[in-house]
Amino acid sequence: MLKKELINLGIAFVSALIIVQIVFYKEGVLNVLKIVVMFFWMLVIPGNVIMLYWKEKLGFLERFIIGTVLGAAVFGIVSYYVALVGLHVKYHWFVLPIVLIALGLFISRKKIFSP
Amino acid sequence: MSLKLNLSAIFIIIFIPVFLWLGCGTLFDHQVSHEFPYAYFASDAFLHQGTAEAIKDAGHYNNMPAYITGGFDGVVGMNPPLLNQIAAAFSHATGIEVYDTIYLFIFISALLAVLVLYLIVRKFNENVALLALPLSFLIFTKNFYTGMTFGQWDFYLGLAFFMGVAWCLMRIGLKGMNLLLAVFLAASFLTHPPETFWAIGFIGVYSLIRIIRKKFTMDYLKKMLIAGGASALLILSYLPLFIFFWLPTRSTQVLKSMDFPTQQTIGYPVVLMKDFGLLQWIIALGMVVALIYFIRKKYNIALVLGVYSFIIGFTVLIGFDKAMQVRFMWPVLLSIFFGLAIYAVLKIFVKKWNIVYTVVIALILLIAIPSIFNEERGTSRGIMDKYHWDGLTWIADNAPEDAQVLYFYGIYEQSSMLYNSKRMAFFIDPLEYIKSIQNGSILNDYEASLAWHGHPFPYKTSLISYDNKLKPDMPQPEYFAGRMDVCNFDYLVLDKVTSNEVVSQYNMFLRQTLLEAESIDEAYSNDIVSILRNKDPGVDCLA
Repeated sequence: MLKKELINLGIAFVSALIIVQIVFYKEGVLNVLKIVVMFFWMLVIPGNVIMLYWKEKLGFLERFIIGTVLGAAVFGIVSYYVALVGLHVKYHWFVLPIVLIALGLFISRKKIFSP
Repeated sequence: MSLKLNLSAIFIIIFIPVFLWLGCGTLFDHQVSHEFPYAYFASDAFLHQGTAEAIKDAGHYNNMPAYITGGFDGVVGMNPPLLNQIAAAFSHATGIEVYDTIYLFIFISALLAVLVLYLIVRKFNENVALLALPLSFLIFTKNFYTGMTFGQWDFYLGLAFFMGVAWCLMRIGLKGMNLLLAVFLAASFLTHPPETFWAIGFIGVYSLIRIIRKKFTMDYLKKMLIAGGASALLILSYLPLFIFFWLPTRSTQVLKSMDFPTQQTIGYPVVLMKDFGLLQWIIALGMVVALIYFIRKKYNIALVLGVYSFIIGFTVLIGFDKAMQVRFMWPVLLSIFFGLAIYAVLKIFVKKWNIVYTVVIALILLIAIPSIFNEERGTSRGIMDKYHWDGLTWIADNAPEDAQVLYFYGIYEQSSMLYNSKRMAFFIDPLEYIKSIQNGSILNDYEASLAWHGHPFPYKTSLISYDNKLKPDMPQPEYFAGRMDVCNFDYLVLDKVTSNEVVSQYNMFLRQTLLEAESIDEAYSNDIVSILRNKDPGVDCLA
């Protein structure tokens, strides 16, 4: 199941890269790569890992879309509070996704390794 | 995977790049990164950008810099934090400037709102959901677009979270979905509280329907109470700010505004149904079809959401001016009626409907709608340009932190842009300046104002309580506005070139006169902007 999820996410990532490069065709490839990689790392993946909790009930497209919105919500809320207690926002892009993905894996642990 | 899902997925994959192309792709001239804030048209846009930039610098949303907070220290960030927080973090992550990342996120937020609504509508009817999508392109036209270009930005991300709440209600039967609802509700509040109120209102409507259908169970009530409690916990830090600062200022405005607003009263163009052109009649037909569903007691959440979104757009008539922001996204929120009307009419003639027909028609609409509604689409750099931006950033990089800067007549009336100098900024009243030009006189002092967005100045007195540095019954500090002596400022910024030749000549004459003073030298100059440094503030510099 996890393998299928990773393949679907991979397809979504490559699709996003192509779409963003087409839409912003005057932008350099490196910047496009940074935008899509960070978008997925900071928002899409954390949200989608949490959404794995419902993987038996919801299809990939639904989980992907809601997971992205959820990723924005969770990252934003956690970033706001973590900054208030002292962690400078310049570290959030690296630290918070790790924490949120770990949290998501914990929440979804029973679903992840089921067939 | 079935043919239906395949074709739907293919259409979505085509829809997304077209949506982004028509929106941010075109507006940003098909670049993400720019040399200056690009396509910014109003002060509100710079307010959000300036706040996100301040978070990026400081690392947090406490204690905003004094140049944003009227010169007061220790003032807490007043605007809802989420959009600015994400934009600041994303800017650090990618190395792309905040003024680009925050604007990009607005379009992503709108796209996410569209896609979440698609998920809700497709549960009602996949054909209607696909046919509805192309109408969303209208948010990049006419008055609909001013929400983005005039800087009503928090609204879009807030709406995406409101759609998340609606989606959770649709799926509330799933275990744990109420906690997801709590997260979206909290996120909407920390982004733009009006969307939270719309979301809570929608929960109320949905609950009422459950009562009517005798599906309002104790289990549902318990789930909603847990969701409410959880979301309250998540917003605890910001809630007192909202209650003690935002609400008092908003409530007086709500009570006052009982008339239908104009651009003069709300500060941005007003969206009306006629902005849909002839498509408004298709939407109206769809609403009639929806009414038939309701008469038959079929209260599908997608249809109810559409009607609700239409009605809340009229709550401005009972004083809620933020309802006018909801109208910016009416092409999305009312699109279900558009899709429903088309599907319902075609089904009369084609009894055996196939998803292929839907996709073909949706593709035709995908091409037709942007082609028809294309009169105002294009790129524009907005009110900022490289020369003014270089001037602002020169001050930010070189002027002492306590420097005070006076801006003469130019583009500076949209005063939040001056936050980018990261110094206390003042701008001369343009009417007085024009008068002095007409009189041919150079004055030692002019009517001037501090660049200030008009928000209160909350500071923490304890963990969750706040007070105001400038209480309503206190007089404004003198330096906020009034006659200000030009020679008291550390830096003076003049536009060598303006849109008015007479003003340009006057500015050059004033610049030359100032440079004759021993205490004044030119610290920076480019083709448009001249920045004069006053080495002796307080000493007469206009002989």
